[in-house]
Amino acid sequence: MDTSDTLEQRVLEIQQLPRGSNKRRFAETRLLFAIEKSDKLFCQGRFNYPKEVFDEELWETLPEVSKKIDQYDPTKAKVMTWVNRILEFKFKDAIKKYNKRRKESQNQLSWDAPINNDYSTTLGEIIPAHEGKSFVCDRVWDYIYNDPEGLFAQKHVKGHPRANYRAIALLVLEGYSWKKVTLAVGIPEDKWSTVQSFYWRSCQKFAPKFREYLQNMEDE
Amino acid sequence: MSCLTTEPLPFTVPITRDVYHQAENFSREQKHPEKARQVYLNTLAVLAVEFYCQCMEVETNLTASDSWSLSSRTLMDVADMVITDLGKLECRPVLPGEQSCHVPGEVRCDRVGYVVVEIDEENNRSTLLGFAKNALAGELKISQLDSLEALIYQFPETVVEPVPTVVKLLQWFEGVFEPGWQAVEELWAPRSQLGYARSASGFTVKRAKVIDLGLLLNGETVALVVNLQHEANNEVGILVQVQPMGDRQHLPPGLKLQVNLESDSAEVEAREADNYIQLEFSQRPGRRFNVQVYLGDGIITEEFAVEAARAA
Repeated sequence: MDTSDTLEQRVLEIQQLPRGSNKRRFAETRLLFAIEKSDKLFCQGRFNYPKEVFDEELWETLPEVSKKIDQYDPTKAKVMTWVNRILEFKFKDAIKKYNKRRKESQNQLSWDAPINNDYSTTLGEIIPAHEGKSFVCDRVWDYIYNDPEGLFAQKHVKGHPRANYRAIALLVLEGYSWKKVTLAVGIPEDKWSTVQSFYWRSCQKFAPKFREYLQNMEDE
Repeated sequence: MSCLTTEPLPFTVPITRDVYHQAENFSREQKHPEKARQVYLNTLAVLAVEFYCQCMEVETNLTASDSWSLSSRTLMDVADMVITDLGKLECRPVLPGEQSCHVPGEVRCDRVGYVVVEIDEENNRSTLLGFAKNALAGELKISQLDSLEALIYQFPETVVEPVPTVVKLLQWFEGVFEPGWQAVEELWAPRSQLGYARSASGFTVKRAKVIDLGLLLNGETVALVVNLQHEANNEVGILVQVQPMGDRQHLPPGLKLQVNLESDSAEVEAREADNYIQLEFSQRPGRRFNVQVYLGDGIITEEFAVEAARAA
């Protein structure tokens, strides 16, 4: 029997490679993918719970496998037995998390949760409360609109003061196409890519400003 | 890279409730439903790649990523994740069955590469399908992606010293040059340096780096030349040039050179039949600047520093 590509063989290979080297990472990628795809992942009671519990276990298990891989001893267990032991260990935490989440969602009326068991209508669907609702992204809009330091209106496409960052960004935030934005700031439509790259460069340039401003807002 | 195998190497990660919640939280910030969906999928893609990096013990910094900044993800279509000591890795989402992946213009530069992530909401699985070093065309065909192996070999190895990314110019006066910066004489025969020599007379240190803007130049390459001289008050005079390589006499028209200082920036564009383009300026010790060369969507950035004077 050819054993050159068994999971056991792969793990032994990984153990030979230095931790933190890319050769090892490559081997680990192959191993973890094979484990995830294998139909031998199992822990007792798995099917008594919805799939999200298993997904949670797997999420916790895969990094653990790569972290502990040097501890694997082929004389004691098959790789999948060893992996399933880690999985089982994570199972308890995943169940706890799942029960807590269920309790929480029962205690509050969620917009997205069905209002009763017979229909799948949600509360958000019956009450048209979305109009006039304020969005977090409006903070960005407000900051650009108010332009407290005058920076955004000052930065413009060379030779086109009307095509300034403030004007362009506000139009972009409204969802206008690049051609419309370009025309609206007084530049011929076919030059839209100039306006576009000016906008992206400026976004990068102002990124620290935005971070600072939004951080201060959150702190207040 | 011929050392890489061609075997596809995908990686599948579970999408947990917490991951969905994070994506929902970000998408709820947005007013327009289309934008909200974009942010939602981008967040799922970023978190899938972050999980993969965690499995590979590769250090990441989500909070330094544009995708984790409210303003950047609102103003642009970004799905980047900062890998410590490497840079921004762009994580682009596709839906099951899609044959190609759109890469928006705002993320076509300043990226170490692109991972395409298939988001399968029905099965709660994200799959890292493959990697591309560049996305200049704005479209990545899934069937033509490199295997994840190409991404893995980009990761900084914790056992190896990281390569410095900022070019330290004061060292140049002492004859210490970063890899890739060659003597001008190595790149051009004396005859083809005529115009160059005239323009850069007086500069004492001259080094050039070959840059490749990919397909846009039809395989032609150009070189970035940096000339230095000492000036009064410890300042350094810097002349940055772009010149054609090989037998070419002229630069591709439309090629641009931009210098971004801490307080200012300047740009110059090659016209028909320009032999070279250049920008000249001075920098005090402690200042940093970058130089960008671009043609169309292709862009190359080099970071420079005139190091702060060491305390005596």
